Amino acid sequence: MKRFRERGTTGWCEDMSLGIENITLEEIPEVSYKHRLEITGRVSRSLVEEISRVKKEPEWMRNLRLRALEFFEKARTPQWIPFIEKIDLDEITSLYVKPDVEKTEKWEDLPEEVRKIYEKLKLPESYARYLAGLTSVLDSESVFVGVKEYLRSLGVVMIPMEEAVVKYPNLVREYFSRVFPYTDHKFAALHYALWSGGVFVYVPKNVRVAYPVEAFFFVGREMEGQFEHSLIVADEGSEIVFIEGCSAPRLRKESFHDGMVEIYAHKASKVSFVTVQNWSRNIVNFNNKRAIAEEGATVDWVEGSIGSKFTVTYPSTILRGEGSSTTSTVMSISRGGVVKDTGSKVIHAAPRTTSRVTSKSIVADGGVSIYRGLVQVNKGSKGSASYVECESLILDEKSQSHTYPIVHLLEDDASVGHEASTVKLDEDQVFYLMSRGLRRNEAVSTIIHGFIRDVLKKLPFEFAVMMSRVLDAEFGEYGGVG
Amino acid sequence: MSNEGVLVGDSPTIKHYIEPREYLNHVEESRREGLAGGGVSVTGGVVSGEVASSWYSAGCSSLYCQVHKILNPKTLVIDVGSDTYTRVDVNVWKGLLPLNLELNLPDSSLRVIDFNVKGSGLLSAWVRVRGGSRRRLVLKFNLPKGRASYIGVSEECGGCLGERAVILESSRTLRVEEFIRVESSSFKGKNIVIAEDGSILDWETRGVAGGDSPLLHLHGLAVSVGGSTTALRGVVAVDKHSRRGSIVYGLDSIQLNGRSLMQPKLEVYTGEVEEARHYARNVRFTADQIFYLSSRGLSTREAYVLLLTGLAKTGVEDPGISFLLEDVFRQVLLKLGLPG
Repeated sequence: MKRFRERGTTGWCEDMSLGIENITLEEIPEVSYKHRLEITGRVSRSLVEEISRVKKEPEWMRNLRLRALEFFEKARTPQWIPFIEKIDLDEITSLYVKPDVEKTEKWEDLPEEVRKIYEKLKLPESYARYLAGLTSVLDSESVFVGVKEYLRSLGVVMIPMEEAVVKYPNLVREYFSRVFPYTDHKFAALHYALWSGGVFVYVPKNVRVAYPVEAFFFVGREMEGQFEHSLIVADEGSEIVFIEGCSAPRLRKESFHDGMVEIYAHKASKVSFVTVQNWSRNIVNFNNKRAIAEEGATVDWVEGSIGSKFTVTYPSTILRGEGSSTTSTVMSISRGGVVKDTGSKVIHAAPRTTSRVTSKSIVADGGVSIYRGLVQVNKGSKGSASYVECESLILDEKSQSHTYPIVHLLEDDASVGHEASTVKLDEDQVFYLMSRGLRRNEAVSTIIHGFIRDVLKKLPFEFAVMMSRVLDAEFGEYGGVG
Repeated sequence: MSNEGVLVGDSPTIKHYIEPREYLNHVEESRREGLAGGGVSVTGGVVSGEVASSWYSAGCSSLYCQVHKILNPKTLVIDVGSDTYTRVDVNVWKGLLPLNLELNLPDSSLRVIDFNVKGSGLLSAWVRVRGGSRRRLVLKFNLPKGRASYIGVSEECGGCLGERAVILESSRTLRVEEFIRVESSSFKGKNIVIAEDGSILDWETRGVAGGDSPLLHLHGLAVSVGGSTTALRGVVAVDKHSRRGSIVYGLDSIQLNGRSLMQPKLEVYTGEVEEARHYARNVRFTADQIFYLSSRGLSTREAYVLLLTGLAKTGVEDPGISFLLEDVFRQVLLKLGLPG
């Protein structure tokens, strides 16, 4: 067995090959596969009840959905979200789509057309090489659930969310919607009313999972909604690394993603959550992510926001236990009219808690990058410390970068700092590098890599390699054009 | 108007700022008491006229500003004299006093304008600064305990080089809105706000830099004392068509048993920007810093004063303004009482 060693803040297994570099950088062309069931129409009580009936859910879950729906109908659309007026939920007609695929543990059992999609995404290879478990959600349902013997022997539970609702009702009821209640905002309520797919992970006491687990989400059609829910519970002293991957083919119209991640990190546990978001350019992406960290627990977020048309996501942590900590590393690329509204939120709700947020964004060709963050130190959280750093690189005159930090200090015995800067592409630097023999695109690429270097250093090696390739793919030609 | 009781819980969506509807209630109650008498008296300057008001900033869209517009006060034009020091006494013993003040600066000499509010009535005031193409200005405000109040400050700086500092002490709930527009010119601002006696002081800035090579550097220092809350927030933006602009928006806070809220927002609408950065931090002094200064012969109190007055001068370039700020801030700190 390969040796497990902590590295940096991500608690990564240094000498494992994660193979994330295999994720395709180009958009996947149109795909085609059969569907068994589709629930269409406007969001309504009968539609929500129909989803619950199809899923054969217990009554408490059905009631939760209906309460969330009620809240959704009453809640105001948050007006601060940029371009919110351009999002028309009525255009999303397919709110539950079950592909004509039986859930399986073997790739070869999947229909050929579905298997080909995953092979193109190199998921079977990744699973074979380095993952301890993998759940793959196609549209609204899990179609592949692989749990290796290694993970089973540790007593780790990793099953599709709807299965967990039935198999582990007490455990799921204790945590489901506890970290991110539906009353938080309109889109959280919409998610709870329509959720389908996702994964439930429970790591028992003092179990350290040396290999990462992954959940992969794929939206196959336009005008479709995906509302997966992932819940991770790390019991005392446990450790896990969770990778979330997202992808979609090239679509002619928009699709909508309103996913949710809830993490409950018990005493002295450690959860690292890595997102590689590579949606195609037609996906409107709302991703609600929040963690609660109990005493001495650590939650690390890594958010690589590459694709989508419009993304709103702020990985958040509530540091509820004394001595708990969190880090958040956010990297976003906005090019060609893409809007990335990302950031991170931390609530220090206990003494001696620490947080660190690092955000880097690159904007070009009329892209818009927004950092929206919150650091709140509640009364009584003595000796807490937080540091937030965000930087944006603007590559042309058409692009925009905005930074909206919020710092709430309700306790005076705390150290908090936030700093941010926006820089443009420095033509002097480009000229200098060209005078040393580099072509313009190479010079620009070198500058971009230099800008992002601080963040790449904090990432697991393979993730850094992948991001580096993404940068080359996205901006390699930019220098030549500009 | 206290925000006690809403500060519990750990939802990221809690609001801590002044509730506008509560302010409306205060306005209604004060109106029923009638307009405050006493008015305004000026020492060191001349009230040169009273004109109808039509100069509200384009950004005046908040409820507070709208209420002020509805109250429709006349504008008192004050020609600041040749002396450095001008004192403006504003008497609001009870009821409501809506007031617009237009300050005309004659030249580029350093001016200190000291607004002393007397009484506990509700003040809704706008201060507009004009003239002095190389203006150097220190505005002092002092508001004792009383009804919630509102102050708007507007600066327009086209083709000028300006530097301004504000030092504001308040023991009442106070909302301040500041509008600054810099067009192909340079403006540096430093705001020091001190909230005392369990009050809430909510200062919002809207700054825009436009044109060619504009420079807009704003720094704020908030001191919250004795259970008070200071909120320094705002947006500083670089226009889409601006070129080679430089904007800095920095906030510091000192909490002396108080709460501090900071939101320095930055909006950059063009890639043609030289410098755009912001920061927010709270300042705590370590035992090492105090020990070092003590080992150089300073008492603990002197060490604190030295460190704190250093913060008061951060971001201030003009030596005259810097000296004045240091002096005024030291007096305030000594009055408030410091450790040691």
